[in-house]
Amino acid sequence: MPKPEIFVVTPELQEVLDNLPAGEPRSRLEPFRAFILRWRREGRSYEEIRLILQEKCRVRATKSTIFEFVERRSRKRKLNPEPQIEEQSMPAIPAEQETRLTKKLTAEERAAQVEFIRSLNQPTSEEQPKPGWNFDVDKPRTIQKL
Amino acid sequence: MATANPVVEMPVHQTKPTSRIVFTQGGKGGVGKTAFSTLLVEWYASKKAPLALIDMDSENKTRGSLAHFFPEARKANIQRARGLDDFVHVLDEGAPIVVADMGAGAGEVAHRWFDSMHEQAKNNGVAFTAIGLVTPDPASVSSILTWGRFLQDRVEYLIVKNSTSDPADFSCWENDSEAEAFRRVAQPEVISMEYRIPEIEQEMREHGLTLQAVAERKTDVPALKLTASVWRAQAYRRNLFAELDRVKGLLLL
Repeated sequence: MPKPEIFVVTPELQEVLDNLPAGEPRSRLEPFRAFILRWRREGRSYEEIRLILQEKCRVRATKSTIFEFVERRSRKRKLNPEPQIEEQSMPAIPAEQETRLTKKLTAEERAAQVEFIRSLNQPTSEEQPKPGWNFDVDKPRTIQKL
Repeated sequence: MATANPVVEMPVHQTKPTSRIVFTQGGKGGVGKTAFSTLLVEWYASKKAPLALIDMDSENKTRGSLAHFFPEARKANIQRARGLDDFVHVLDEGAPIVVADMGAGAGEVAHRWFDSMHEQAKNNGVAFTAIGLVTPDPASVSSILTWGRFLQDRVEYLIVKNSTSDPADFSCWENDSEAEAFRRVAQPEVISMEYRIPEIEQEMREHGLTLQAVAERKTDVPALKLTASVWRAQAYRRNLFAELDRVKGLLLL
């Protein structure tokens, strides 16, 4: 029986392996995979997810793209199962993007929001609590005469 | 003329604030800062109050940080030289209320930032609410007192007595003479956060789920789908929301 050939990783080969360029992500939704799958588990619609991705993450995708993405990623693999989605870390946000993830409000929109928040801060008429049953075990009890 | 920058052009002598930054004091770890922050965000959501979220917990990157529960929260690294400038960036985008959850050990950066930036923020109508979490652990009280020493009257204080055990003994907060002096000078509002069943808390943290998701049965996690868990989640929300309603002046404008 022939002996199996021993494969030796030489330093030169190791260097080649180490410097291989990283593969392109299969989908631009890939960095948000954990969140998309979680949003679906929480019952968000594909339209809602599309809007979140567009407004908060600046990623444009159609509903059907997201649907197919979820379908593909939700399938159980027989070999090399994917890690649990909870193990995923937050997608890294480049420093320059950190401060510009939301739409900037106009002065009018902001003024309206401030007014609305102030209206929430108005004192509310407090309901009088219903008198509860109180019993003092140490108090002498009296019996009314009939 | 219409302003492109709503923060900078606020009138200087404003009696009512036009923005509020509500932040957890990032002192001692494990006192429930993020657990409280998530409930606070849920309270704002229940009132449909517009707000922006900043996750400043650089220690707790995957599970258990604010962005784990609310993916829309922006992550901010406060260890950079610009410190808490993300407060300003978010306000500059127009959000009248900002909720920021700081990680443990954020004190020095925050204190330096307040020393140099608070006056400008105040002059532009920005008010600050500092949230301190008290647990039966005396170290949590020390942390609040340390923050109070730096922040002084530049912020309003909300103290949350977080019952991490049942029953919870807060004598380190109630009977400590330094804490008593702090209460007298700073006049914080004090609310209570009731003891929460660890199994529910752990599952929520594990799966990045809010109490609202549990209370509204929007989860497939078996332990959280139990009716007892759902009712508890509803009760936790109701009770804390009632406490927050009581101190809403510190949380709104």
